[in-house]
Amino acid sequence: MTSNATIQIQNKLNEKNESVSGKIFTINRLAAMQSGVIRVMAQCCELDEIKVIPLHVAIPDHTLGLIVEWLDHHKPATDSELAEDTQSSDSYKRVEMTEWDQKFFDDKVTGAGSNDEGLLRIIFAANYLGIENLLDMGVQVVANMLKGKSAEEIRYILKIQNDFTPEEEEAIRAENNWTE
Amino acid sequence: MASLDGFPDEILRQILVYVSPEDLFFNIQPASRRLHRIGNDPFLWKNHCVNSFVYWREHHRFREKLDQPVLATDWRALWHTRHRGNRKVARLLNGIIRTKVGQVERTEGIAELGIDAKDYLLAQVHADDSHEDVLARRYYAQTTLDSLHRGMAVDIWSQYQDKPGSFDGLARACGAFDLFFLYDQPQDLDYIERTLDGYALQFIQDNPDFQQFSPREKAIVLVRWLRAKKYVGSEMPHDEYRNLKNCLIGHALSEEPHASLPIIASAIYVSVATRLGLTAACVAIPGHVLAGVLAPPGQDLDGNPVNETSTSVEQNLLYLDPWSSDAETRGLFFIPDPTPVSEIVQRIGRNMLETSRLVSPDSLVEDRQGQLNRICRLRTGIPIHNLQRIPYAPLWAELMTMDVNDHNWDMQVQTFLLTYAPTWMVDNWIVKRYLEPRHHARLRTEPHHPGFTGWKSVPDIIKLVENLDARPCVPNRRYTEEMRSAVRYKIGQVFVHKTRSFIGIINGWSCGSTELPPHETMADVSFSTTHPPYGITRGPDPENDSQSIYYTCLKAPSIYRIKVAQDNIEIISDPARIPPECFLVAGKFFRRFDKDTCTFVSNIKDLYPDD
Repeated sequence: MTSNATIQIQNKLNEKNESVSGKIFTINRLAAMQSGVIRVMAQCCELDEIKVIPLHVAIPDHTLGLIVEWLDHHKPATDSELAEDTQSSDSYKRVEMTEWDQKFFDDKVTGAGSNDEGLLRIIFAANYLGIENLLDMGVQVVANMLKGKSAEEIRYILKIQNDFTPEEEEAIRAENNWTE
Repeated sequence: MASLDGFPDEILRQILVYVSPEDLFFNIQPASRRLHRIGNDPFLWKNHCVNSFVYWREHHRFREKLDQPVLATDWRALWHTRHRGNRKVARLLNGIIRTKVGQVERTEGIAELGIDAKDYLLAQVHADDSHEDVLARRYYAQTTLDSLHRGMAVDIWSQYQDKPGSFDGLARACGAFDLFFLYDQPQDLDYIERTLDGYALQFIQDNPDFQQFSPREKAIVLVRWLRAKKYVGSEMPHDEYRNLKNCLIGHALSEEPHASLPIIASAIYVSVATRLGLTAACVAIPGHVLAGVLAPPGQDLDGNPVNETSTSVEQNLLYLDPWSSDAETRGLFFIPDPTPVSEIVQRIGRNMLETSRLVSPDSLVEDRQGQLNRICRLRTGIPIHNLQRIPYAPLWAELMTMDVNDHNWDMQVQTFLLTYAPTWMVDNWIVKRYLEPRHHARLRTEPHHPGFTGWKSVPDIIKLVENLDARPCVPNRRYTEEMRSAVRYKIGQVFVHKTRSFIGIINGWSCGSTELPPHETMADVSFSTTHPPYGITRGPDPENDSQSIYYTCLKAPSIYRIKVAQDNIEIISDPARIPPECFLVAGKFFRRFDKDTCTFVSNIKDLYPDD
């Protein structure tokens, strides 16, 4: 297979949610193979001679479009490079974000016209699709957003509730008291 | 999916890998129960402990904990303890930078944390230029760290008080001298121990059948190996013999060539031999120090079984001279005994004093700077500062290892109290912790002693230093218009001396008074005796006969004040003319350097509020 071969993936159709429309995305085969889930499914589909790979979790089209864009940019040149990239290793390695990646997240994921939910969606989808490097980058972006923020701000960013009991809160406050 | 709640724990955990321990502990974990639970991950906190801190006080048992299963330790709590320590050091160091009042007390507070304080102090020694008080920060972080190092050295020596005949811990006891000159360098006691461990390991690898040798063969194979590797006995030109670095075991181990005095060479030999299971000790004889190796019980040196009573000393003890020979030293006129560590320490101290005597005390000797650079240059530190530290280290070594009933004891304490206690006020905590108990021990041994009071009494001097430390500064103000115009220059201005052409920074002035300008510590009164007060010796300025105006200045690398007459001052405005060592010592009085005005920003506003 040449490195120009493409495959098609079809988003799940959700009739109650029009942003999940069952849309079909065409994507370079090597680029798509960075996803663990697509790798496995592509093999099954080849055997059954299915032309379009169906996804089983609904990801908003917009998000899936961004993911396709990211996959395309990080397309491995050859099959062996792909194998190298996706080889699971025991030691946890931090993925370096390039300028392009930074811009990708700034402009399209967290930036204007989008919102923090966009980032959470990307992370969620990257996790589901098994795209390790994208997941790791998304996680780094979240971590950066939390830098130097108060607990209250962090709840707002992550859209979570303060669910401590008053007693627990008191215990935490006591622990965080900096006086020696 | 809109919220983090839909995420599996694993993703949350991965986010937390990328956040700083401070953010995690103080803000993220308190955000929700789930984040709190996931953030408690002991693996995460173990990593933070390992990555955030290098130096650990003994009582944390840190190395031990690293080897235990990760769940056996509350790593998060341990991190928090260390973090609180850092906050305390930060607060106290900020105080030290802010005002001279309470400096001694704050240093004592930092010293309470022991080596835990080192991580933070070391970071501040290397503070970057973005700090508004960068020069002062670096300077006082270093002086505080120096005091911490000296305390560690004194602690090591103090352990020999109750065991004057001990042969244990030789390398550390020698390395304690290095701590007086360590500055921000990594060659500390652990480095020394590790390097010696490494030698022993290397030796075993090179001599795999070593264990089958007789004690005599072992001793000789080792000395040959150490000398062949040039770890000891490295040749040096005759005029380098007395160089300060040759007295320091850490320098001998870390630098190529591994030059050292015979006493250090023997200490290295003995330390490696001990690691290899030999019974060895330094043997000090007049004018030289050998290494001795003792036969194990029930054997002679050649490995033959012996009857305890029938052996002579010759069969039991052999001598080597690792510094100059591959062979056994024979034919001594007498049979010297192995020398305990405390005596070796004192002897190293005497060698250091010998070194300091080689530098002419007269600053006007033409090649004094050259002499200093040759003799007192270490891997870091300004040679003159190293020279000033030389007598201090041996004095502490003596005070800690000497018997309080020794006839020299009283005199040594006197010397210390009169000369050194005022100069090294920040070490008051060391005096309190290590010298005061010995003073009381001395009084107990001689209850009818006329008594030591005032300048002869350790507790009285401690009190005196504490009182001085707490004394508020008396500001020197520009009260009148007349004063304002008469005192032409300001604190922080840089000048070139008109007749002697050195560059100085103004750090004090006096108007109409014959007294010294205000000073912060007793140490500042000790105007460097090697520098005559330039310009002032000519008497009052005839143009200003009613009042004498003069300044004090910082003339790097000295940290003491030097007097200058107003007329000899010519302000300069080109920063390129300022010698680099000025920036190393300026932190004692100044916060930072301002390039645009070519002045140093005053950190002695409490003394000169109007400047």
